[in-house]
Amino acid sequence: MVRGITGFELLIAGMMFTFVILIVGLLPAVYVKRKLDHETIFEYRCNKVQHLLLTLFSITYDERKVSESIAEHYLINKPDNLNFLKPYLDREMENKCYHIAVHNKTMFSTGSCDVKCRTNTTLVLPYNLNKLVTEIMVDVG
Amino acid sequence: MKGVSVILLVIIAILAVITVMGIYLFAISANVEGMRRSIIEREVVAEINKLEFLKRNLHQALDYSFYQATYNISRCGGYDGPEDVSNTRKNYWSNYPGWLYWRICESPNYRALPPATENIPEWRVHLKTFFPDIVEALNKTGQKIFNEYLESLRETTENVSIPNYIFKEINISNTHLNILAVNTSGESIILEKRNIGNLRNLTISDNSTLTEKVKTTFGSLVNFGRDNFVTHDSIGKAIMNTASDAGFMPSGSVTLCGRPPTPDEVFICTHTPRSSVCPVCQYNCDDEPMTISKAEGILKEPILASIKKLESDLSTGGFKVELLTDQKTNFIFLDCHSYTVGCCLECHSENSCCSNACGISCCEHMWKTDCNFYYYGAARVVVNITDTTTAYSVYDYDEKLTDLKNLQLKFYVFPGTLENISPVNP
Repeated sequence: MVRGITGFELLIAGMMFTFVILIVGLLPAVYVKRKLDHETIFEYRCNKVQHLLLTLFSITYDERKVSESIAEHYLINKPDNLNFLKPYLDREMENKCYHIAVHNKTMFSTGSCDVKCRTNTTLVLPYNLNKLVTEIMVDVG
Repeated sequence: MKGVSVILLVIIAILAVITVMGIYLFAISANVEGMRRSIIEREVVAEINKLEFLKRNLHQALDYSFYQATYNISRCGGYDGPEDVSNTRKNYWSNYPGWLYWRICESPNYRALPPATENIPEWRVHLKTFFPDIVEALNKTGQKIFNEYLESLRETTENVSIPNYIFKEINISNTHLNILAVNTSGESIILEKRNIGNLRNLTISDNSTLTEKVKTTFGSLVNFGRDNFVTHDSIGKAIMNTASDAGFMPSGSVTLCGRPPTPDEVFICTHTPRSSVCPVCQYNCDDEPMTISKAEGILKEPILASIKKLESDLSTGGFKVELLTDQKTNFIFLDCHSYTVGCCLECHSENSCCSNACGISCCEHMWKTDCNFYYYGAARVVVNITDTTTAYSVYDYDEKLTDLKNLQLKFYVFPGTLENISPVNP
């Protein structure tokens, strides 16, 4: 007499089968979803960087536009430094990982941290005979 | 033994897996769709931000354009540049040839006013004032510089068409320039981006005007210069006071007994004549007659000193005033406006031949000469007013670099101590 599959063994086999099929079938899907979630967070952070740069172009300090202070610091090194911006930047970027540069001159840097998002735009400089505009870049981690 | 069919179990398992996968895949699909929309939204927001950055850059370009324009105009005495100064000078010199000359005692002794050659204009030529059209100069210079900024922005901003702007209004106050710039021909800033998700093409246009309040003390500086040297002739007043203090009367009538004065002789007069019968000037006959060159020698240094003192008197409120006189072009002169010749007064003695207070015999040539003297001193003065309160990032064409500079207003003044003399042919 042939012994049949018991109910318990069948249950185990079914569960194993289901588990394997789920893993094989859903693993790629899970991978894709994780990537999408990562991209969503990335996009949110990049939007925040754009917002940060836009705010730098809109605010004033000591009755002067911050963007003008940045442009003059780049071109003629006056003011001597832009430390007055640091508390504001630290408040906006909670992870305190950012790097602001104008052309190839660093304005602000919190040191080495992995850059995850970059945004840039044009910056108008004081009148001179070489170039009237240049690029300002903001990197955040 | 009766049991569950294996095939049935496999079918149930497959259905279960498909169901679970379906639910999960549906969730992922919804997530993907949301992500796709988010990417499109991000690109649209990025393009809108690009437009916002551009508008802020236009405002900053306006600021720098007018910082530079006010700097250039101030150093050119309120004109756009050396060519405008030269054209204006040619225009009014050709219309007023009399300004070039003055006469001494109706004699054909002309002394030409040394023409100004530097690229700074005259704001006052004696009694005539020439205050420039500052708003026109600002418009012209500001427009040229702003157009350069527009060109640079066009080259560096992709997918955006930037129109031309003209300045519809420029209002000057002591602390600001209020600028209203409008785009010409109804053009707008237009952003065009193709192939954004299923939006295909994105077009955003903005035809708003640019209004900017440029913080500058240019207005205050120009008003200071105008008040002290155009509306009021500070240098002329200082010179007249000096001449008066030195005993040179502004005008006087004197009767001379004796020979007629030679054209270059003048006499210092006092209020009280020495004799009521034959009033003469306080004139020592043994002395050499006072000549113009001698009088100039007396007056020149005190006048130059009074101009120097005026510098410190006027340097207030953050404005540093320098009054520069060119030794080669300084001149100080005494003008005999007119004189008439007549007979001498009565002789003092019983004889027909008598002598006057100077011992000159009345039997000889008897002259009564009335001279109206106008004593003036003048110098060509370069007025240099520096606003030490604020510095601006501007390009200096002499130093050939951009740096923080104070506004510096420069112009010529010929003090108004000369009476308007009608033109004569030399």
